[in-house]
Amino acid sequence: MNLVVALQKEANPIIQAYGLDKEQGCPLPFYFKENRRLIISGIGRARVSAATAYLMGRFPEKNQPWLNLGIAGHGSLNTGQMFVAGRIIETGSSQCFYPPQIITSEVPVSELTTCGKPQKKYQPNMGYDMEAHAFYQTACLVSTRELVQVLKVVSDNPKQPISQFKPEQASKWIEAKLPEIDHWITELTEAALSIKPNPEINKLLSRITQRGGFSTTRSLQLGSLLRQADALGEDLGALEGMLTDVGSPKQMLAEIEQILSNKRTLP
Amino acid sequence: MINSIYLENSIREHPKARSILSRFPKANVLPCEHYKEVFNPAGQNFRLQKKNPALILAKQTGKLLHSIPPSYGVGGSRNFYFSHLLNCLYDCRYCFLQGMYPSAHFVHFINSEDFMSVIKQTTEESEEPSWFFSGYDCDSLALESITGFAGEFLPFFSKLPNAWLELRTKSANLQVLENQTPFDNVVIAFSFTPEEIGKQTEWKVPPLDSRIRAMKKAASMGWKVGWRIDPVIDSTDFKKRYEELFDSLLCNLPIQQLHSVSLGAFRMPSGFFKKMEKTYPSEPLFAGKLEKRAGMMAYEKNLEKDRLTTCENLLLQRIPKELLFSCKSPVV
Ligand code: SF4
Repeated sequence: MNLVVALQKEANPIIQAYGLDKEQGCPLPFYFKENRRLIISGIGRARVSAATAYLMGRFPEKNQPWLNLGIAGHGSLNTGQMFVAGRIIETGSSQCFYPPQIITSEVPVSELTTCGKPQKKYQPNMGYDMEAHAFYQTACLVSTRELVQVLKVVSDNPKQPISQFKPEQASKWIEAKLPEIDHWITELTEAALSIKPNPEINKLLSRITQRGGFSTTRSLQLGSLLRQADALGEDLGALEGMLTDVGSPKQMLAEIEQILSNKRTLP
Repeated sequence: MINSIYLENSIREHPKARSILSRFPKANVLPCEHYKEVFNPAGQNFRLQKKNPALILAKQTGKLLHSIPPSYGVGGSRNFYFSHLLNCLYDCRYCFLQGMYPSAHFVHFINSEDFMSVIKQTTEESEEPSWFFSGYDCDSLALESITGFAGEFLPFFSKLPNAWLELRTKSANLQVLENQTPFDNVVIAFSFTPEEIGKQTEWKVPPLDSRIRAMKKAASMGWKVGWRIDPVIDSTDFKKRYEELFDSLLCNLPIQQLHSVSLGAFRMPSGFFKKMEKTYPSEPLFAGKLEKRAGMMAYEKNLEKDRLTTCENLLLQRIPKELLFSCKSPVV
């Protein structure tokens, strides 16, 4: 799970709740524990793009869950209420994103406009922030859209405009929403796991091809056969054992084909 | 069941859109300019969306009717399909929709008046009967409670005797048929696979016995019924399973109520197949005895021939030859 948060005050409750450790020597404040990572981007489109790209570069695995979390203005919701962005637009841009909503949750889904500066005018049913659009655009380069989400807690609205906002409130609001945030983090993590290919297949593929002699075409054929073996319920460890003494890549492909041939019919 | 609804701005005030929205007071409703903004972007995952698909209410402004090859029909020479809905409530692993569409959201085109007008016009262009297939991009009846499609189109077709409508379905809820006096130019086409194969490949689909009961009921009300044995899926005990299926279908349907039976092997454009395999890498069906022939993935030639011949023979022992139609894949 990669969390991208604009401000330290927004991040603190998350850092504490998950016991994240700060990594020293990073160009941006970066916290982590096991597979949970949090980066503090700073405010605005350019900073959030850079922070997201930084995480992408360091952890290049595809289809990880990504969450942009923070405070936002809203035209209709109360302060302290959380929403998920279902439509993200940006002032001055025609590009519009619709993060597919696959998580069942009580959190309302709202439109969100990413602006270049804090908004003082509010439209009904519209949220306002300064990062989501750029975050979404960047994270979707490496992850499927369902796994990239934007959660915002309302910090200001027509009744309590941004001029009355006190930064220390950000931590309290985020903290109050920790159970719901945790639900999203858990669900997105599970969703990502549900589409993750069996990592053993690629490990086995690289062990076998390292033996040498595999052309690009034969490597692709081998990869495809190993995936099929896995789909057909073949034990990959046992399969590797059976292939120990097989000579050429051509013979190996034929051998696997032979092993699978009578398993290819649905039971 | 529906948590998110996207609504095209141009149909915000359309009575049908308003009526559907009123049935989902808790759904989150989001505007969009055109359904393709939501449906078409690259980088979506069909499998993840299938967990919780959204509903998109849209107006079909593109082509409303599409021709289909005569070999896919059931006796007619003028064959068309039209889609009031893209995608399906059910989740059959062999379904080509998961390879064809970037998204699993349901897109419902609410401008039935436009579909009706082009169907009427097309029918009147010829004295030959025209066939209209409604279950190409969806199941015709599975989302009836939302779309009200059959409730609207059955009365329309009842007044258009030279136009035939095929409703193709795996639904067991045929309430809509009870509300309408049966008439001749409609076929309720039920898709079937043997139970053991269905259990491995058809998710969220009502159980076989309840669909057979629904078929029996539809026939007893006076509707013409079809069997769609498509796709034929290879499995162990193939002949026995298909024989049992055909026997139980025949047991529950007087032959005079059977309009047609169509038969087609599992086949798929290879581009769709590739996407499906990537989406469901652990799916045994996709690791079956398949091969690529002229851009299509299909069972190995001899296997396909054998399985289709077996089904054909089993069927011809039970039904008159004139009722059987084979959907030939482009390569045989
Ligand atoms: S019922 Fe038909 S349309 Fe629906 S998923 Fe199954 S094959 Fe596809």
